[in-house]
Amino acid sequence: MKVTTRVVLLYILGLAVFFIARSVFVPDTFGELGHYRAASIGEIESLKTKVGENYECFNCHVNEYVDWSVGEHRRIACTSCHGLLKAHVADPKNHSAKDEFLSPYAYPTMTDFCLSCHATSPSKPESFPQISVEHGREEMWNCTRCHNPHNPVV
Amino acid sequence: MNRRKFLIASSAIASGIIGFRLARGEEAEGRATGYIFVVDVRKCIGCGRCVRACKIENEVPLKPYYFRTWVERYVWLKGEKDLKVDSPNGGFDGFPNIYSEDEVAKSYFVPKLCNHCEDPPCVQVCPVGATYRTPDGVVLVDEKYCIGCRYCIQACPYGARYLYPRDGPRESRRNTADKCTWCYHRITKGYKPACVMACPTGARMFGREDDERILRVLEENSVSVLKPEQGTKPRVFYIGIDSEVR
Ligand code: SF4
Ligand code: SF4
Repeated sequence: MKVTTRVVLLYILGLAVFFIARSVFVPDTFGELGHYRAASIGEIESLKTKVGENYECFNCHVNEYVDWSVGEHRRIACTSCHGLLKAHVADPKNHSAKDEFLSPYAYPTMTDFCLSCHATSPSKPESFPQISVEHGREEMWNCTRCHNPHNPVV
Repeated sequence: MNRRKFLIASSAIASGIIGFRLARGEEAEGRATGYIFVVDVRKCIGCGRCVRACKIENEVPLKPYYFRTWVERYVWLKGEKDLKVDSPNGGFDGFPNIYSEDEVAKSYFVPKLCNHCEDPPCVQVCPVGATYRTPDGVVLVDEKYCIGCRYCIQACPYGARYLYPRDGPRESRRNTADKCTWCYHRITKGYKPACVMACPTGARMFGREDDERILRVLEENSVSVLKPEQGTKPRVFYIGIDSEVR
């Protein structure tokens, strides 16, 4: 009988050590939903967004909206050409919408920017408008002399 | 208490705990409504807007070799059996035209990203449970818990993961595995992923799996996935690719 008690005590002690160690090393919410830290989902969810939405632009830029909404570029989001907008929407006085990654400012010239979509390439879908090398050469390659980017005439 | 009673009692407690856990697991699966991503390569023009927007939105280092999404160019030349694949800087700067119209038999651009596999090998190999699949079917990395062992980077058959560099802009993510999250912080607020927003041609489409618009796209087109033989069950579906695209 005495030996059994000791074995049981040892067993309980072992369990206690295991559970204490477990609570120290396993982070909170681990295993709540699966073999991972459930709180991580919320942490990723709460990251701030940076790329803005069209309606945020049209709150102020009504004329551009009118142009854009009837033109060939109407399915293209504002961010696609103007870049990061969140900072500009939050504080338009101190942050311009000009952006070095998505806007024309990321390219040497405005024309290079237009060509980033419209240059000819055999890999592009045939129906996509691609301009030939000769087109507009006399205009010194400035597309915006003739075309309004918000409502380009083709 | 004799030994027999003790064993019976302890096993009853153990099975109770296991049963409770299983029941909770089922509950978690019950609220799952997944998402679907569709890439239509017949529309992509290789402009690289998606790559740029993704890097900004997700603080991906701007240097080459670090991508959550990138674009590849597939080219079949006339009279040549092997295809050519290239992806200069992941398509960030677009694709300079290096082939002439006459020599190309067929060519298109293939945007790539994490497939958010239903059976993700990257999750299976993680030794600490730092990469996981959420109840709504998005595969994520826990940057606080990842130990940077690179097992998942090796295990992904699609090369969708990279190790966030030591000098990356986001400090808490340094030296951990990183990859596309389908912009989880945007889609859970009802926005589209940044690449989908930025794509001027509509080559990238995204929606909940009960979204009628996305279901119609899947119904009306024949879709395929990358490397189906791997059994990973990707949730990114491609329209218009040949079986050589892997
Ligand atoms: S594509 Fe790679 S990283 Fe993404 S879920 Fe599948 S195995 Fe994991
Ligand atoms: S933004 Fe759209 S069209 Fe441009 S490269 Fe990406 S998927 Fe292709």
